[in-house]
Amino acid sequence: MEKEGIYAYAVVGNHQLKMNNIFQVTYKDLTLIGKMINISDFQKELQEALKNPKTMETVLTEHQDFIDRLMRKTAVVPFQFGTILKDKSGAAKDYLKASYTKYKELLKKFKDKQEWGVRVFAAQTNQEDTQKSTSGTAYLLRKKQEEEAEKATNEKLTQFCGEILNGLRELALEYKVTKSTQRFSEKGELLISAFAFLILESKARKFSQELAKLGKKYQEFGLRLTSSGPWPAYNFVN
Amino acid sequence: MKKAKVAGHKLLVNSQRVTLLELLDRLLDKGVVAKGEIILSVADIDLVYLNLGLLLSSVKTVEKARGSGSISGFSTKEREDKDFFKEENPNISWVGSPVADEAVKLVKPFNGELPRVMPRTNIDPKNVEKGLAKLVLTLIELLRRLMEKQAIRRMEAGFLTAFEVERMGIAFQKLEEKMKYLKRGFSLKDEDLNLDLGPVGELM
Repeated sequence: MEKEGIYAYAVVGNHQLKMNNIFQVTYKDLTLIGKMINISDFQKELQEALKNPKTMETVLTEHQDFIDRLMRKTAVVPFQFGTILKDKSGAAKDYLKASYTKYKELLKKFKDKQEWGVRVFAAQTNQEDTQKSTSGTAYLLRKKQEEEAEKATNEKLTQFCGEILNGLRELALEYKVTKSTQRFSEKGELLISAFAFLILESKARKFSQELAKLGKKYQEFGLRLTSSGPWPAYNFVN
Repeated sequence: MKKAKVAGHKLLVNSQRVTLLELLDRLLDKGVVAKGEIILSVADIDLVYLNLGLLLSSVKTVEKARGSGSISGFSTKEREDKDFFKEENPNISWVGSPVADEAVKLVKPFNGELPRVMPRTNIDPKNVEKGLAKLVLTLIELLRRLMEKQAIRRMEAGFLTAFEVERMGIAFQKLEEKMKYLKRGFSLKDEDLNLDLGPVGELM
């Protein structure tokens, strides 16, 4: 079947890329990296993959692996997964032309930078409430105490997250408080905050040292910090 | 966790599910969103993201449920499958939310074939019942909590006699017990009684 679509990975500056099975569209000093696909085949495959989380995991991982390899060679502006360009009559080139300034700015901004994700998890303490009060008044008083304790805990967590953010943002050029579909860790801890940081490659080591320091500091308060990276600057393209 | 670039290829594959969620948060929710004539929206990526996120996030909950031995009568393999797909289907919490309508839209491009990871596609009567119970109990729980908070405020303000406080307390205690009983009856946990209101956040 005819391969009429470009499955787009990212836009990079002009670069001698020696990678197999890639399709490049160039406009001035910008290159869009993708692979040629048959759109309807691709849609069918994606539809199949969606039925099975394991397959979808593989699909997403392969996509990210490719961008990781690209990232090792040059600065990248990644597309959202699933971006397909209908490359009829050089439309992809027109797209690059139309978005030229935006991509140039982003590539300049992302040069020698990495994105790191940090998540703050808190151990959950609320166990099934099996207490039985001896009277109605005692019940309401107990509920009042629970309410106050919860409020105090929330305030404390907000304060800790603020302190963690402050400690890390000093080493970053930019940061974002991100949203996530994740609610719990694999250990059942509650996700309290998720941050993304754009940092200089040269600061990565220092960043991870600071992270370890903060992780140790807040461990005694029942918090656990996790980090992931280096990512391309997904969270900073807008 | 990705530690260094050098390890490259296997970093994400070998990592924990947490990182897959992070991958999902980035690949499907971030990155350049190109718009225009030449761009084809493959599927509604936002919804793929939401659905997969829910699916993966639910894994932990499912494991917990399995550990409690709440489901019996199936072989381990069967139990895994049953349990998994029951839990991944957040069914009723999607009803009435903007996402629910979108979810229906998402199903359409798939040539009428219903992918199992999508919500509202599992027409198991047991799930429907549980889903409906979940919605109803969520609303009751919301009202119960609001009223209970109100009662505490009144008690604090000193508007009520000791007798009134006592009566009110007994009523709320009974209500709480009844809720626990109902939750157990439908195998629902506290965290199930919530609605994701999208950009607004969660109901409770």
